[in-house]
Amino acid sequence: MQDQNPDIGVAAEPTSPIQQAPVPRTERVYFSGQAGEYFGIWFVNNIFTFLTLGIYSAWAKVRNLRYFYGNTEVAGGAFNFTASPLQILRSRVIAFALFVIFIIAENSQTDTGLYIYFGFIIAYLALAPILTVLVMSFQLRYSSWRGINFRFNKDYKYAYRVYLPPLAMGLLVLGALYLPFESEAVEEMFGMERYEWSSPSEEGQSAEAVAEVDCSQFEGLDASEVPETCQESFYMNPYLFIPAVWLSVLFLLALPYFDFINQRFLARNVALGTARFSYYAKVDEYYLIYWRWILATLLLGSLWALKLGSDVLSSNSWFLILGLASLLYFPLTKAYLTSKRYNLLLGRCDIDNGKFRLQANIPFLGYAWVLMTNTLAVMFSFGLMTAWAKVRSARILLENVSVEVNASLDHFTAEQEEKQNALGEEIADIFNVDLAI
Amino acid sequence: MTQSNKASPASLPGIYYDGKSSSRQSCWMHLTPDGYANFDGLSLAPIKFDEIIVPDRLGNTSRVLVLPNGGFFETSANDALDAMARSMSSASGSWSLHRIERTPLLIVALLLLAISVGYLLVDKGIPYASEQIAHSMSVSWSESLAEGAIVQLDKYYFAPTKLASEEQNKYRDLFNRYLPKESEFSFELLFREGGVIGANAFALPDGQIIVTDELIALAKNENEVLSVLLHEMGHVEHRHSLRSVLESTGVAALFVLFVGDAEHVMEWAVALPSVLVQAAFSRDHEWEADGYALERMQAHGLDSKHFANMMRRLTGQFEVPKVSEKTEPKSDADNKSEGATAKARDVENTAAEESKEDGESLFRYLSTHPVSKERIERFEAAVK
Repeated sequence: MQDQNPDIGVAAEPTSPIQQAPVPRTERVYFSGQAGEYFGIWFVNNIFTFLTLGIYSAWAKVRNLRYFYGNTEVAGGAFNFTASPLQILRSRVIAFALFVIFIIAENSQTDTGLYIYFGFIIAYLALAPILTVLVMSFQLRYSSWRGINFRFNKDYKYAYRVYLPPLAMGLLVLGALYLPFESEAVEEMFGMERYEWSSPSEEGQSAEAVAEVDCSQFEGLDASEVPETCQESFYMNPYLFIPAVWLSVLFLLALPYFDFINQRFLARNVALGTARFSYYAKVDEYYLIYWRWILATLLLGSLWALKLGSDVLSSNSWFLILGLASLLYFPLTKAYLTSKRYNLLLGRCDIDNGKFRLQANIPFLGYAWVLMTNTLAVMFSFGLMTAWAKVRSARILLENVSVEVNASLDHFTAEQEEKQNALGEEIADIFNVDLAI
Repeated sequence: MTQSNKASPASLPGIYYDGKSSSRQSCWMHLTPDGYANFDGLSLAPIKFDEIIVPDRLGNTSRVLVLPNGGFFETSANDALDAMARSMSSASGSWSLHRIERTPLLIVALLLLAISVGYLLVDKGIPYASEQIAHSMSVSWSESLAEGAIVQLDKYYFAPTKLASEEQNKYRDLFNRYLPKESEFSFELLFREGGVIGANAFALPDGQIIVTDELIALAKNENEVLSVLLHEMGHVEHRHSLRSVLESTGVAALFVLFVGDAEHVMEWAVALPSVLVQAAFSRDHEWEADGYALERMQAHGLDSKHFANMMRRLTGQFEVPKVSEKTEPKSDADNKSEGATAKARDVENTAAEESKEDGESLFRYLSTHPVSKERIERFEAAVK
């Protein structure tokens, strides 16, 4: 505990080493950031970024991270962010140049522009797993605790195994959604029958009658000025929505699994010096989290359907209740998924074969309260309460984490070859901008 | 917080890490008069203070000094460390980011500056820049904004007109007679039945102007319709749709710069200020289009009272039977109207609050149209 590990400033004895605390014990994470103090840092960061047209943002990023890292303390040691602003600036310049090319290509009407645009998207999707690894690697390599750097094991091959399935499935869903809009071509390709939009005879007749009257007055006008009803009607086969619906349901069912392999991949490859992290969460735990959320969503949806579609919940108070529930739905969803997934991600990590074990217990409702009050404060202060909001968020996320210590904390050792792949780090550097967005 | 720097400025308490393992060694760092740092109780040769990397101070966070031997010295005795660093360096010292960050007077001054610059940007800079940019862009940009809008409007809101064709021709002639000279836009008048939208007129950014049958039925004479048409031409000539796009982009960029990523809030926290500001821009545009109509009417020797009368009728201040229920909430912030209707500029805010005088003051800031009374008074004042 805190009193067993004297504060850094208050050195109990002038000589080394500090007496060993008993094991096993629990070390809490302390966060000592202050909204008032951070306001000055945050504000000066923003002002200087404005004044320098964004160039200062690299320094701002480092000061920001240094503030949050430096105020996070566990077992008497604070975290330290060690990347240099110049490194970040150089990569931001490259990233900005790439971004400008992308925007120009997006708005250009030429074929070359189109190729560049799609080239960017394809390259981005194809390289996304590598980029994820590089971003993690950059972030961790420049994070240290007690003079030991964190690391991220660059397992590119496994990254593709983790990120390719959700990517491919997402693209399939998008592709399937496109099918009904090309109904005629699809029918031809698969030899399907044309779908007849049959309507009760009298309805059809009256519609036709109206259409006749309508169209006479649009004669001689451009196609764009003629209302829909007078143009050749747009044909769509409703059965062609079925693949998209099925694929979406499948995607939703697979989502907890995808999330599980993603978090497991991220946690497993972290190391503090030579001490590797391991992850022992089970896939069912993810399904449990998502299952409750899907259930709540379905409940709200069906109550609305009942309210709007029948007389069962016709009273005004039901309208009020449902309206309120819908208003709370989005912040509660974000708070629920964030807190539960965070608890799982951190709470199922072992360090160095179980010598240390992380525990996280972010309260769902507490976090939802922080999120909602933050939102209102930032909104009504026109952004000036952002510093306060960030400090509050960090406090609730960090102060509910602790470490179960089963061995001496003094025996983490630094990895030997630190400088391994400068080029990789550079690319990672470029895209840490994207991570921030 | 607890700053334990009772020791002389020449020594600091802290913890030494050798950079190879995570073991902590609590010790004091002493500075010798000849500029060397000694570490109590450690078997370390004295280190020249100049070779130690001392990070900038940042709030009250503890700092990690990087030693040339690969080790680190972590200390939270920030004041003592600053005093020590100052005594070692000859030149710089007074200026530091930390000093700026923790001087309340300076922060307040910068804050006031930022608020005034922000206010000026939103109130003057962004509208002015948008106007300049919009007028320097070719007409095809405005035209591309209107692409497909009429098809969407017809699909979701309008029905074909029931107006007789001689009546239509009468208004077309009037419209063509009063077209602005030397315009880059090709204007066109379209007639539609308004349905839920009721009596209203719209301008699409490419110069198509739509009048509802209900508006024509509501008007007492041709000149009243004409005054509305001139207002709509004002929207087109002043390129208000393109300017709105540019203005909202500017405001969103400005706000995102300040709030940063949305980790700590819900994403829609950024929405309210931009809705408020964009509604203000929209009110300015309406006022400008009114000004255009007024000028044109005076230039042609038309009585500006017609516009005032038309506005009265539209807001129901004359005892005229309502042509249709105006239930469609129309504001640029309304998400449902994104796409087609957001691109169209209407002459009158159809929101119900307009008729309630007591509600007006509150809704004023959310309304996309200026208060009708002021608009009417402006045209009536011009008569005298």
